[in-house]
Amino acid sequence: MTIRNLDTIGDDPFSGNEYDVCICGTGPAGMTVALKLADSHRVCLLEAGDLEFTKRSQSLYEGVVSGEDYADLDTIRFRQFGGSSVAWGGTCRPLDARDFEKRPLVKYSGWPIRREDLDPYLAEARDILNANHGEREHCSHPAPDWLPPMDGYEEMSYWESYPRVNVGVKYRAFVENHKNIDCFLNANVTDIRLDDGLRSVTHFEVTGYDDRKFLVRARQFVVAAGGIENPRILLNANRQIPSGIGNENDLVGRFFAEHPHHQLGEFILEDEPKKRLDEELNKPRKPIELTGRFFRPDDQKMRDERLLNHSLEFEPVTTPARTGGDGLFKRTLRTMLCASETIREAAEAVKDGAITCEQNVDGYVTISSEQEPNHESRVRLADERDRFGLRKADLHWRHSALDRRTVREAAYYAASKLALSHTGRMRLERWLREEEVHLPGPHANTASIVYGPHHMCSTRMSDSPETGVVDPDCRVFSCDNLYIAGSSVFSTAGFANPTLTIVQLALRLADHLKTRLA
Amino acid sequence: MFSTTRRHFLRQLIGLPLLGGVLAPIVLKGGRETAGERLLMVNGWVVLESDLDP
Repeated sequence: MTIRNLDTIGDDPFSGNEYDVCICGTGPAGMTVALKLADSHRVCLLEAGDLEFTKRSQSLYEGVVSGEDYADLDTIRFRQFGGSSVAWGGTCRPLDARDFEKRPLVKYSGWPIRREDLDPYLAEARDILNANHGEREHCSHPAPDWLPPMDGYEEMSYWESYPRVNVGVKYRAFVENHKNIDCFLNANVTDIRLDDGLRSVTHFEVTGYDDRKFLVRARQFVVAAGGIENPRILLNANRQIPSGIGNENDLVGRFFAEHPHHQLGEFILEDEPKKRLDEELNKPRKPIELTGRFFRPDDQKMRDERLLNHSLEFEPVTTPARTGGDGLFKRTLRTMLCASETIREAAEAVKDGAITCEQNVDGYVTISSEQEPNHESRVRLADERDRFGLRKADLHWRHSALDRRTVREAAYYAASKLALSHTGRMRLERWLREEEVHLPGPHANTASIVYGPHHMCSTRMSDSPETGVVDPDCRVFSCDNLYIAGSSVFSTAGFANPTLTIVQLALRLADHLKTRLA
Repeated sequence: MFSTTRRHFLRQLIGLPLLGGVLAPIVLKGGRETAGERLLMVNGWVVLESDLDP
């Protein structure tokens, strides 16, 4: 009935206790399950970090990157109360109905559930995430518009979390005061103990930073530690089953997906569209209104042109520099200097403000794309071990030819559409003009951001243990009472930011656990 | 349409005054909206052939 720090507890706080549910992780997934179950069931909520950031906790997220170029693993997720929601961007959108469907083009596509199975949880998920403003599912813009009709694409929108949610802040008092929740900080789940038949979990082993070990007993267990840590925990739980729990078919950690997220280029507008854009930008806006315009391909375009699902954004530059700022001479000089790609790239590499090549354009085009489910894209265990003796995560992220093709085709579509409709002209990033496109990583010298960070599909949901780790109820196939919450259970990634779907799935999991516990 | 000033700006952006332009026709679907207009890529900018007219 409070939040306790394992560092300062003398006796074994778990001795003699059996919880209904024990949850590992206090991010949006774990927190949601706890919120929903607490009124009727006893919940143990385990957080490996503290209420605030601590270096000793965060350093346990260090790992190895062996696949595509990626950021250091301790810089793109947070091991503290509230999980990675402490630095969440706040963009919400449900997956498309077609994301759940089987597509002939995409091997391993299709979920064992439909979007209709998650729809009943949408309103509550939006409430939890403060994304219940602006009922703008479909966009409409009064003609004349500054963008041309995008044939083959449909305009769409996102909901913004406002004020932006950190579930650790929003629900701290709830957790502290709820009689049915025992929450422990600095409590690292270091093993999952099974019964003699190896079919049920009996305990989570919890280790404190003073290396004391405790056993937490519960009827049902939930691992909700994020898309890299979930498979790492299962794979490291190898004392009784050498390959790790749920890994009988060597699928734990496989199919890891991100959202390739790239700036494709910049654009300038012809006079009339520019005038219309200026008028639009000068209108008063609410804080939750995005200035960008978002488009997704329609079903026919995806099918006919063999593309993955993706979102194209046309984002106007809204800073004062767009309409001037510098004097004419300086502006002209900069424009001419920046016409040389060598100078542009040098300026981007230095980033000290001496030369800025980004200010004279009217906007940028970016993409956030689905990835094809890829058996070889995976989270695996590195040889290096952490302070508890557990093997660190090795992220072996891969892009496929279809991933690259989707990004390239979308970029060329946007550029040709702007020119042929006499709307504007777009400059394509250099990497898009190579004969064979390679998606740049964060260490490449480009203007691109390259990931969500969204860590998905690494314990994917399926209707068969041959192709997934969890069943449609998010239960690990080979274990009667072990569940996974979070985007690691996504079967496919879609393009939408995953947090809203994570919370929908967590609400659905809570309903399922209530039934199991009844 | 570009005004004279904006057209000048575009030509500066794509580097025509400095570099003379490195023209490489690109294969793109299209031409439906403006039949007969060819798309070229100049220093990364996807432009209409008429943009390069003196």
